Amino acid sequence: MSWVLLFGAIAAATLLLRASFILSGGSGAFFERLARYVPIAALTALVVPAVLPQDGEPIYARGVAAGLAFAVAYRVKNVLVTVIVGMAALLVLLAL
Amino acid sequence: MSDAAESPRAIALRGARDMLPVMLGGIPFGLIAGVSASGLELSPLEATAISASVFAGASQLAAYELLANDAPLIVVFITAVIINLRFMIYSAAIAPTFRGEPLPKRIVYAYLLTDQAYALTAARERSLPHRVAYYFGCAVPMWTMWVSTTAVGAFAGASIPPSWSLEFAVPLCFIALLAPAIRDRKQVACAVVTAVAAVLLLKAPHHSGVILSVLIGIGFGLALDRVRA
Repeated sequence: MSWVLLFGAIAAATLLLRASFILSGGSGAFFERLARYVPIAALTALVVPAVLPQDGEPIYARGVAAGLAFAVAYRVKNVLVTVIVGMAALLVLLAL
Repeated sequence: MSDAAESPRAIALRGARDMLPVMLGGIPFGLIAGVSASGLELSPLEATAISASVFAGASQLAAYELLANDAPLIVVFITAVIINLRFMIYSAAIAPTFRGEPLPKRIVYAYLLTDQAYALTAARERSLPHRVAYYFGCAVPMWTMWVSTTAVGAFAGASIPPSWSLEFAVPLCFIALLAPAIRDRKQVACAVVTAVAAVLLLKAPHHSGVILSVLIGIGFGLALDRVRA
């Protein structure tokens, strides 16, 4: 039940964010500056904790796989290719 | 060639066609969102309903990850909202396109706003006709793809063995969005500062590390603009 409330609240807040300027009209220079940093900070903060070493694994495995995936993503800008390369790298490094 | 001669319907179809390659890249993202939801023992129906109502992959995946680590619900909520702050920015940038449309339609267009639909529509010049039709043509296939791939992932999720380390596909999806978004040195600095903060705040109380490190990263970027403007 609390999860219904949680995701209902997230859905409502997300719609408000999406609708904010479309419904009110107008825009601002401040938001254009903010736009340069919000996605980068948000994605970085999500990635970093998830690629730190986990107990019982080689300490470098997740970091190396993530670094390789980053390089691939930078070059080819493709989600599917990035995920396949990163997963393959991790599974190979864990199997070594 | 001459856009003026094309009907809104033809322009919408062109939007859908332009979205196709972008959408294919989103398919693993949707599957993983479904798998992550099923890991929380959400039913496939619930997972699909969340995708249809929230319709914002990065925030959904972050929420599932926090819930899997027993984070307090308020932290999950704030983290999701911070990740979705970028929609406010897209909303500001795209608002002129929808000026003059009736309110119910503008609500639908707002609901369908995604990184991908925004990027494609923004790339289309202001002067071209039927921008709204183009946007709608981009947005609807994206929604359909997201909801259906989540449903498939949620049904398949339970049968994927843990030894595949599939949870690692989540940060990989974020990396795929992050790497091409970093285009200048200030953005590199913003990413580095956020990363350092995220490591230092790993043990922050109540899983608030993501929230705090995002705010630190954004603040640092804006401060850089101020210093070297």
